[in-house]
Formats: sequence, C-alpha cells, structure tokens
Amino acid sequence: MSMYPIATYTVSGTSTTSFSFSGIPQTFSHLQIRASWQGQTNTSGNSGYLRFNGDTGNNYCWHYILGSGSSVVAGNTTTTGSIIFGNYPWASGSSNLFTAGNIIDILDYTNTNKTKTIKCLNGYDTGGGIQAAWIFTGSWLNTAAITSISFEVIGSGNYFVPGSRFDLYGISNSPRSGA
Amino acid sequence: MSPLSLSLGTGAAHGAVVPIGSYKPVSPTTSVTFNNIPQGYQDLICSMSVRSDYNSATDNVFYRFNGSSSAVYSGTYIEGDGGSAVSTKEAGNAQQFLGSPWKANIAPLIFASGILHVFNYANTSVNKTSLFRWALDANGTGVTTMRACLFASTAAITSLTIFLGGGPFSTGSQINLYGVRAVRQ
Repeated sequence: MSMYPIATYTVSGTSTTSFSFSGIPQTFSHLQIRASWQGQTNTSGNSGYLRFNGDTGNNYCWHYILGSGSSVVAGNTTTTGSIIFGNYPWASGSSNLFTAGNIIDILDYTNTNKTKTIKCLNGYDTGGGIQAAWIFTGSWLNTAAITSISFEVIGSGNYFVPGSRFDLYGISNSPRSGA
Repeated sequence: MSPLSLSLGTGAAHGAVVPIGSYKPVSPTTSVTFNNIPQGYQDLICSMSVRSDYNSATDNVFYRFNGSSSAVYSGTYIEGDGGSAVSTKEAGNAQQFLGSPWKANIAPLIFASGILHVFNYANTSVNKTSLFRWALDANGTGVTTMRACLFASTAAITSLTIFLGGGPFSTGSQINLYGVRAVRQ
C-alpha cells in the first residue's frame, strides 16, 4: 500500500469560508486528508464541516467522542447537511500561533455499492487555554463515487485563518506514480 | 547513558510517506534521537512498537523536540482503560508524555504501539501541533489513548528524541520516522 499526494490548498486572505478539492482521481483505493488549520470565530462555533460532490442535502450523519481536558463527551447528529471534521482553536489577537491537526480517512471512496464512511482524528492544545482531542466518524448516505470534497466553516464572520493548509492524498494498493 | 543518535539516510521517495530513520535497539539504551531531520516535508510521522525492561512497576515514554527541556510541552488526551473514559490536560511540562509501555503485570512479548503525527513541523510561523494514538492491551490491563499535543515554539523541528523514564528499551522495540510529502515537495 502506498500513499501519494494529489492536491494541496493553502488559505490566503481573510475571507475564505469554504474551498473544494474537485476532479479527484478515481484511480486510488482510499483517500486521506491531512490538515494544519485554524479558524477565526466572530460569533460562535469553532467547527469545520465537509461535504461530498456538492451534495447540500440532509444526507449526512456523524458521531463523536470528545476529550475536553476535564471531561469526556459523546454525541451524534442524524440526517444533516454536512459532516463535522474537526474543531479549531479560534484565533483572536495574537493567538494565530495555535493550529488544529486533522487526519481524515475515507476508505473505498470510488465504490458505488456502498455509502461512504469517514473517520477523523482532530485536536489542539493552547498550553492551558483551550484544548480538545476529538475522534469523529461520519457517513455520507450516498453510494456515488466521491469526486469532490468541500470544506467550510460556518457562522457569520467566521473564516479559515490564512496559512491553514489542507493536503489530499490517494492511497493505492499497488505501486503507481503520484504527484 | 547518552542518547543514541541515528545517522539519517537520504531515503528514496516511496510515494508521499518517505522513510527518514529507523531504530531497533542492539544494546541497552533509554533514548533515541533523530537528528538533522530534513526540512523539505509537510508533516512527520513517528511510529513506535516499544516495551521497557525497567526493573520497577511502571515505565513511561516521552518525547522532546530540538532537545528542548523547557516547559513548552502541553497536551490534552482522551483515554479508555477498560473501565472508564477520562480526559485530562497537562500544560507547561519539560517533555511530552506519550504512554506507559511497561507495567509490572504485563506479560512478556506484549509491546505498546503508538503513532505520532507532527503537523507542519518546518513552519516557523506557528507553534507545533501533534496528534498521537497509543495502544496497549495485555489481556486485562490496557489503554487506548488519543492525545493532542502542543510544542509551544515556532522553531522548525530539526530533531526528535524518544526516551524512557526508566528503561532501557526492550529488544524488539522499533521506532521509525517518516516524512510526509505534499504536492511539489
């Protein structure tokens, strides 16, 4: 099994609320997204969400377990419009130094005989301020092959902090040339 | 005992995940350091299958970046031990705790497994965030842990030290370092 870089996106400017990886090659077995990112929260919320193939319908669901540093919380959401992929340490003032780490795995993304399940690891620590260790699971209740993935932060005034970086990888079960 | 420093090979480009260095103990040692880490990758991955030959009840494994023993390591974890789930944060430590690969009642041949992901390790504009998964199961005793770690320094990471509080590493332990390439790296 080998992993190959497909695409990368680095946020620039202070108005990016969403972006997409489109035209995903259908020649790999699995996908992985690795991210080092942060968001600016103006109103409330500090979560990032993803969708597949531009599907904005209520065709997603997800579960999570969260370690907040003081307690453990578990929860889920059903029949919703996107999958949460992680939370970020919201930037304010000089706090742009802290980022969240994310690993998102999507297995068998081209298989049209199954819905798509993702698993995410996400976490951040600001050295005694805010912190979280998350494990997410999500499903896209659609059997279509995944050809695009969109990422967004929601909430009025919220955006991805410049410098946030997302890298898309394809995982192959056989040797092949990559980027 | 002085830390064992490894000579890092150039490593052929095996897709996106490129081997940088590997350690398998051939003599008793409590510490291994990967020096002169190439700065041309996006992330680092350190995998470990480890056990300790410590002659006391418990031993712990830690890491440091760039040889720093300043109080710049913090972490938040979620852990299940078979009886309960807990989450705790630790701030301002001189090293980052990863787990306990040895307890007195762990049977021989059982090794702990861990994978450390260090994001954006060469970026000098941000502090360094890592995610760590740790697993140990001894058929009764065990933990599964996910840890979010902070190295409160914007310095690029040029070395990684994995070390035991007691030690030495048991024969059969293995620690590997990989670079993760992004597009055009």
